[in-house]
Amino acid sequence: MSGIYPKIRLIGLLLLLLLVFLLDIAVGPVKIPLGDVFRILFSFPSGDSTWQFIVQQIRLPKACTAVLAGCGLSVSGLQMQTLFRNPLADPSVLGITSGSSLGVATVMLAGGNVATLYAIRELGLSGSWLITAAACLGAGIVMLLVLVLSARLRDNVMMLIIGIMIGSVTLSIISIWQYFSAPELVKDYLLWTFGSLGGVTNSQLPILGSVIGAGVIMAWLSSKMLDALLLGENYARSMGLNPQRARLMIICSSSLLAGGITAFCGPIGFVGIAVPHITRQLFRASSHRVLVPACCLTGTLLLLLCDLLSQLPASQTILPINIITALIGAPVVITLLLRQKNINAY
Amino acid sequence: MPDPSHLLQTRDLQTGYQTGNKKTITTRGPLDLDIRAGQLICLLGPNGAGKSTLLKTLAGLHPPLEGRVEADGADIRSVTPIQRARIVSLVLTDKVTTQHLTVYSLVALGRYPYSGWLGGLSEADRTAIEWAIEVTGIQAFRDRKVFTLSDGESQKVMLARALAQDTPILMLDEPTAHLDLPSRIRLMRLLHQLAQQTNKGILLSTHELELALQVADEVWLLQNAETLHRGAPEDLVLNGAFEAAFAHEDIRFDKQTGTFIIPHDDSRPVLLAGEGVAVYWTKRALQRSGFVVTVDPDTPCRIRVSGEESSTKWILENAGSSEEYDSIKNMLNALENTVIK
Repeated sequence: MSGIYPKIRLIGLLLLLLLVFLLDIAVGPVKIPLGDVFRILFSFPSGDSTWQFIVQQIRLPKACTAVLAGCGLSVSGLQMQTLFRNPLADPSVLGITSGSSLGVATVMLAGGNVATLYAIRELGLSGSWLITAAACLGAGIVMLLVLVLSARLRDNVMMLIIGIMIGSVTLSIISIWQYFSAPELVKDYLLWTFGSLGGVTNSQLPILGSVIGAGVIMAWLSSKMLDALLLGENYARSMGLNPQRARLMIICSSSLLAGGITAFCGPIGFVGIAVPHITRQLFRASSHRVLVPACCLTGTLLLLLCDLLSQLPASQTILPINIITALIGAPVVITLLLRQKNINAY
Repeated sequence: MPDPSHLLQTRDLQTGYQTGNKKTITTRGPLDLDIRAGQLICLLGPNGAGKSTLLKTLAGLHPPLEGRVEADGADIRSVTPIQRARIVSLVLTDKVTTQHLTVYSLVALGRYPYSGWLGGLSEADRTAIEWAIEVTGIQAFRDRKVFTLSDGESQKVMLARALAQDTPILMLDEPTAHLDLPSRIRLMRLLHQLAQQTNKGILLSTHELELALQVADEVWLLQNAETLHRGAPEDLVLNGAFEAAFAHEDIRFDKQTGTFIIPHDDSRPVLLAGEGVAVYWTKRALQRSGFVVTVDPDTPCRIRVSGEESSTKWILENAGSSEEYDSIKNMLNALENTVIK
């Protein structure tokens, strides 16, 4: 990592990120002149109070959510790919997002409500904390289960299959509940599973922010352990890694990240699997001290771009974010895997 | 009272696996082993004899069924992982598949027990890494990605990583597997030198019997979960331990040459006479072709080797007739025809 090229690349990416962030705020179903957007953003008085409301209460929190979700999903994907030594691991593939969904659904069910965007928005602050905790707990339990079962198998493909099976079981538990629910509620729930960055209010943003922040910091602090795990668990242990502590740290951090995002945005797929691959190619790095912040950067960029795309096609409607991430993520993953000589390498 | 020259000692050790109440014993003890400074020990044994389990148990990565492993008087299972990593370093058979890991970063990972919270390297760390890279001779590809290396190169890199870990004991699990002959010899010679120059205790498991006989200060010979013979390699050859450990109906250990031979059922006796290197290789050729070399003077078929290196002649005498040949191949052809007639 020497020479001027990495610095130019980093500055370029940061500038691009800033541009996309501003663009994401400027573009939307309601046309607001660019000048007014800037005036509102930098708290100068602006002509229209509706515009002010839209920018401050809708678009700014949504863009911030995109930043947080981009960081969280990609860092948790990176951690899981290293922990399971599997290039195809990510929160949604291993059933961890399904675990969070179950957590969310359980809280909603116990409250006699249903997991809808509207319901989440209407929750008070304590409710938001509760739903976040339930989602993180669901994620953590599923991850622990996958880890315990995979430790007995010692095989990457088997582990992936087990993750998918556990994901299916959690989804079918949710389906049982859906089956006995009113059709309108099921539709609302389905909309939630499409994923949305627009469900987080300004008052909830600090909750999501602190959960994701804690997760990312934990991930960064465990980067030395993650580096050692690149050589496999046996080597890592021979170098003095405490496997229980490492797993606990990584599971906690990943559950916070995946659970927090799923609670507020619904299950968003493909970011967790695609971004770590893109980042490794882009930064040509293997050290997690570099990869964790780098994943935050590329993940944020990718999710903001996806959000931008979801508003463009028919400028009156907004497509669910999950549709865009899948449309972009799947080809990216396929291309990367085809370009790599060794499919098993990550 | 721990002897200072003993880097590692076992007390009444028995290794194996325990799943639930079911015990799978891989080496029935009690074993009282020790690794001394500056010693190269080769752990030999047939496949499935429990070499890897013994190695991992000695390294403290695997719990023993009975007894304990002590380093510096302390149980290796009771010290912290970091302390243990400063006593024993390992080279395993696990493959490293990471795409963007460079050789230098991999070797630097060996400094894990010493480096800072986030893996930051100090001046001492860098010196240790440079030394490890130099000793193993991998300077030429220090910036290459690990997955582009050949098997021989990558084995050296893994050794460099273990050396960077700067431990008094180094253990290697089948380091010569997948390597071609020159790489195998070079690696063994390097380990031999390292043991002598750095005063490390080196323990390696291998199938390379002939190489082990040449470089090992001591051999530990595992015989199908039953017993472990230890001693100078030559002693184990002479007391028949090698033969017993690898005993198999279609393979035999030749004490004369220290090699394994494949005996034939219809062995035909031949008397071999002469001196020098050519006699040794003639004997091997005869054994390979299913002849038994005897010293019985009544054997009708005899071969005499005479002459100097480039002008060696093989004289085949059979039932009064005598013929001269200029190569082993021609002699063997004639011999086959003679005996069949």
